[in-house]
Amino acid sequence: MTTPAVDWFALSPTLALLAAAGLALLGSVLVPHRATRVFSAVVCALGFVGAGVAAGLLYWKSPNATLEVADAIRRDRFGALAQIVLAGVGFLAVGISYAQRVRRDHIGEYYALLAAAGGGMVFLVEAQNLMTLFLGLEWFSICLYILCAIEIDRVGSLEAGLKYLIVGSFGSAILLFGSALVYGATGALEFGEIAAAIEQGSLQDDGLVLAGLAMLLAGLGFKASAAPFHMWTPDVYEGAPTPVTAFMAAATKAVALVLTMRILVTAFPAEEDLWTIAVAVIACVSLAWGNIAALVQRNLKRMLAYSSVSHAGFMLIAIAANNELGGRALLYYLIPYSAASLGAFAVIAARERELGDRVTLDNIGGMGWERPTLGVAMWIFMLAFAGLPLTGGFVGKFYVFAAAYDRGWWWLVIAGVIATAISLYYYLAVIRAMYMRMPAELRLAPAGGSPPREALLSASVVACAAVTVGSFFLVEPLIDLAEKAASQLPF
Amino acid sequence: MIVSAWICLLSPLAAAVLITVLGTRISRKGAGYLTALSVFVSFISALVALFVLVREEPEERSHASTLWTWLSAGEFEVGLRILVDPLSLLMMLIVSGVGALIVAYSIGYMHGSDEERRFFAYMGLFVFSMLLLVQAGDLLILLAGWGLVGLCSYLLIGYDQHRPAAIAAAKKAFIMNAVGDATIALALFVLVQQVETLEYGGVFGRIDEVGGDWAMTLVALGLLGGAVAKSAQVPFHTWLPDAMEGPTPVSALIHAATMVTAGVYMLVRLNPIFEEAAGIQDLAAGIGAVTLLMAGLIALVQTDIKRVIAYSTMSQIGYMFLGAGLTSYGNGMFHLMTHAFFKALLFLAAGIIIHALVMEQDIRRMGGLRHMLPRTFAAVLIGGLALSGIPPLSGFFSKDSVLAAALDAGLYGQILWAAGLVGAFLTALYTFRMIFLVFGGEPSPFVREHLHRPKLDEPSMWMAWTVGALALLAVVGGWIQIAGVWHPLSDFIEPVAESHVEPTLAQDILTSVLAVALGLAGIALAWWLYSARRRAVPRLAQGERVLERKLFWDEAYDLAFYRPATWIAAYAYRFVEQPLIAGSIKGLTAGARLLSGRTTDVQTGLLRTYVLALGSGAALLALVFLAVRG
Repeated sequence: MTTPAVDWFALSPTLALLAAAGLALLGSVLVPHRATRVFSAVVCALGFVGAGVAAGLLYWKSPNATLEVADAIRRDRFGALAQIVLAGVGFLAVGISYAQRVRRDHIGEYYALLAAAGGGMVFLVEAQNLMTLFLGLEWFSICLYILCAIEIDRVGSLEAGLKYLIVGSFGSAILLFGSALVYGATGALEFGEIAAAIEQGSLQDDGLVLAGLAMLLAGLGFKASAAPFHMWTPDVYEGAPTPVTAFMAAATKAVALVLTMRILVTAFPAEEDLWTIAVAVIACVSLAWGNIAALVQRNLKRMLAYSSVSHAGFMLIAIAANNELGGRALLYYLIPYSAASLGAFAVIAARERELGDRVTLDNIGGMGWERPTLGVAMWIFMLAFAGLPLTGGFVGKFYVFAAAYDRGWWWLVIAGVIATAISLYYYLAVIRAMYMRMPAELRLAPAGGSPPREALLSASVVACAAVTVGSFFLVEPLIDLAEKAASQLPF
Repeated sequence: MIVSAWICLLSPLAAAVLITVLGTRISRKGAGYLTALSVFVSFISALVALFVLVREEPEERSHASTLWTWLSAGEFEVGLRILVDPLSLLMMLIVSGVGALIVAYSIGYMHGSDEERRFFAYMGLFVFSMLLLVQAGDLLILLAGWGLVGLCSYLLIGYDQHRPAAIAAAKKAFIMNAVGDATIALALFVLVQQVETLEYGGVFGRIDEVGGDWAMTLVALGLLGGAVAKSAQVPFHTWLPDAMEGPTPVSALIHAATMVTAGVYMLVRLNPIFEEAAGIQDLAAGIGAVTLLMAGLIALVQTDIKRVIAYSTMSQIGYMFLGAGLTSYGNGMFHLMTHAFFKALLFLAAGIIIHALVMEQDIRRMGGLRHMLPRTFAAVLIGGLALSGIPPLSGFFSKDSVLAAALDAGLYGQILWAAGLVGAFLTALYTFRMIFLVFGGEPSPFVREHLHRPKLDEPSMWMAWTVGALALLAVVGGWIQIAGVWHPLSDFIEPVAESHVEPTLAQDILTSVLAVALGLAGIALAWWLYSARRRAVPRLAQGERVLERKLFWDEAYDLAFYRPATWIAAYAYRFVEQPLIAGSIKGLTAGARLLSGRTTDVQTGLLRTYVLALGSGAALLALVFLAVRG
């Protein structure tokens, strides 16, 4: 048994974030208390910057996909582009987190865990076998369990952490079981080998493979919070500290969906007729459930949680299309969706800090006039979620529908359009609440006076808005990047 | 050169955005200066582009530039693309040149108004939109500019948002133009379906590939619909007189000099399309002839000074349509240019009169102003003579060359030529009726009571020198092209739009002699009828009423569209909307809420429920997979 050759370059985004996590932890011990917050936040941000730069280089230097580190990971542009998005999400999440009231002795851990979770994610999108898949998944999930519960003085936070831990363990168990079944049937771990084994052994109808595929789908659908595996989402999103929710909503979903596409396309081309239908059905259920449940929500975090379920549905349409256009659509969709998601939760975080209370449609009233920057930004995010032009959300949905249409599944397009129409109701309700409430109706009394405006949070929100709008105007270059990335998957 | 074209395009937009962003941090007057400066910068950039362009070979004078490509699907590309060639450059010069003068005039005219910043931001946005329209490198951007100028027109007509009449006029203008925008959009759909591109060069190059006459006719008809609506030609003309509710500089810039001539620009720009659909091109010429006669007749009985000039604008654009429709593109553009000068001049001078008479616009209450406003009188006289086509003022050269070209265009052209000559007579008659009523005779009691002589302060000076500059242009503007002697303007346009009619010298001379004679006759008749203030309107009582109701166009629209629509709407509301739609929507929302409530009921908050859902979901998937393959 020899040690396999390690392509350190392919691992460099992960390593950058691991280093940041380690440094932040060291800092919480060695750096004087006053400076811990600055130090660990800066280190964590630098880690994400480093990961982003490394991923960019990786994208540039990987014109051909290669298997690295004993075929455990696949170095390709598909993963690299997802890593760039993840690094951006993490970087902005640091800005959103900075002024969050985390207990002083937890600050170092907070940023260390954020960086470590990011490291797990950028590792996972490169995963090419069942072991690295499970390793990466648990790696970032465990970090997130703790992050959800990090405000230990708040019952909601603890509840969210615990719920996520227990349901998450169950989800991971299903995924692991599925992996075991697939391995048992094919005797292969690497995705390509699994596909080859199914092909050669004519295992298409093998019960183990089919059950394994179903469980893998369920496990990944859980992480992507696709219905009916989404039920943890509203509770955890609501209870977790809002910056953590923002990070999870954008990054976890991105990772889970990118990985779903990778494993289905690479390992199960022979079962294509089954899983495309299954994914399409899951997409429809997510669209229906997410949108309908969001209609009656008053709590904004819960509403956005259901909205994220419906967006998982949209992105699953791209996966169900199982063509290169779908790959392009998924990668493009992630950009405006992540930005809008992060930004929307950041605006909620700002309001939460102002009020010292949960943000609902009632107490967000008048915010558009009080905080014009945040108000306009929120407006942009809602329009992006709804998929209206001048935001990247429009182009994202356009490409998703184009992918489904290309496959000939116009019924999926119709489902998506109906879901979009329903979703307008609650997205516009947010804008209406922010701008169209009479001042007399508001009776606002910020707890303990208005906190100072947070430059870092505002800057992050503005950056998110810029990406959301910019991705509309810069479609060509972004789609070009996505096209090059998607073409490296074996559609 | 392409850089200066971009500066030309974006500078007014920058001013508009800056004024909007700065809000109260910029003074009201500062907003005016900023916008005037930005439009002046546009004009200078256009001049720079002109100097570069004329030094190139005529065949090479076409430069496209794409700032960025937004989307490309196959050969179909959407992006911000501009095209600089002789035609667009001529329009750029007219729009930015006349625009700069009118915006500078507005500094004086709008002085003391409540919301000057809003006004100037709109003006900047308008100039940008108009430049976008003329600089567009493909039909999609053209349509974008087309829609944006319509929006600006709406905003500026309704600038005085407290006057219901202004709001109603703004809505009328917008709706009429929206009909035109829609027909253009439909034409573009057909065009994309046929030739798969909207870029000018691509479309013109592949015009032969269009399958079937019907497609070509549909495209041309749709485009013509937009042109007719924007240029206030029959039957989409009724919005323009009402648009005079806007401030006078707006009338001068948008509803005389630039926006309303966009239809002519389109006829010339898209000449390869219209020439493929010759019937539609003839239709355009015919519409022009009908409009010029009809508007001339209606102008005879109007009593609002701005409405007289507005009908005159419609009538003059009729001449341009006539010229462009008969493929005399150079002459059509020439008339567009001189018309921009003398019509802007007339409007701005009218603005001075209205200002001096505390916003009174009824010419029946004016009179004897020639002694009180001598310089304004001179300006209006120059504008009126130019409009009537009296040599050596600019209108003479351009109108006569349009008519002479018509004489060369077969029997159809000769009929239109005759109509144009009658129009020339009418033009002189209504113009000098207005002039004699406003300036002739003794000052009316109203004038004696209300006249404020313009003070020689700074705001008034802005109004004075811009009117002076336009008067100079109205005099010399026509000398750039003298029929039969030299025609640099037509030659300049030639590579883009080649004229197919070439009148002989004899035709030129015949037309000129007749037109000038008719013009002088019109002036003489006006003098005879109105100079001694004998009558305000001609004698035919029945015809008078018909003209005063503007040939019942508004009533006809009311009858044809509004009444049936409200009638159908009332019944639809009672028998369809109430029971069916409202009922079903109520049912739908109630259902959705119920369903929504159910979904949240499932969300118990208990871990066992969640785990159950997850587990049973996975089990269901596995069972279905096994069942399907089993």
